[in-house]
Amino acid sequence: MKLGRVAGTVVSTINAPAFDGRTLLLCDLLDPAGKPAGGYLIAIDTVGAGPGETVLILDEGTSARQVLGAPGAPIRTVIVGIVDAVIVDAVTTEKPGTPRAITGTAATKEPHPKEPRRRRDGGTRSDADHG
Amino acid sequence: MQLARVIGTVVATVKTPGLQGVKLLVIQPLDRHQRPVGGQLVAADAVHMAGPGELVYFVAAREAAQAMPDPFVPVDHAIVGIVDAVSLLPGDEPVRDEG
Repeated sequence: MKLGRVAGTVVSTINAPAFDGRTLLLCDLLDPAGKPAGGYLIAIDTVGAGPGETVLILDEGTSARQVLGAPGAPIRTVIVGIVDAVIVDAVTTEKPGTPRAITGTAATKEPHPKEPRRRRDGGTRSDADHG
Repeated sequence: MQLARVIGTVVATVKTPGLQGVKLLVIQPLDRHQRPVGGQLVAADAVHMAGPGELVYFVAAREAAQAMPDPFVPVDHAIVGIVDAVSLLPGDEPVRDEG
């Protein structure tokens, strides 16, 4: 498998039948440090990857057709994962835009916005709806 | 799969039996900014609608033969789609259609 970064989309209406309804993404190939390795591939998306994301690209026909469940399709390149981090020699290359891990208790102090609020008379909103 | 520009056709009357009726086109592989990269190739047209000047994408190796009606033909590059548009991320080099 190869590492890539989604650089854009390819739109096509006239294509081989096996490509109907499939999303084609243009991916630059990357080295493990996250730098462009030269070259690109057009791959079929199976994971919902978006532009700018680092992805795992499978570039082998038999496996690609197995992932898609499309035996006999002229397909060789599929995106099979979205990469969070690559660690080489204990150096971590994080995906750009990855949210930092939630630390401490800050995340639990705020009440959940969808939590039903008690009214001052002790009733809840659902009581009022039925009354 | 990669982008390519169709730049010509190949006419051959004497062909191996599996290639009868297969349209052969000369393509120039392109980089993602649609600049020529690498040598030109002869590819089978699996969509039956590609013609000179069109921007297409092609598949190589064993999968090219899979695109043909008979998957056991001696084909190693096949055009599997005609490109309507390539949209790149904002800030990327603009794509200019030179066809």
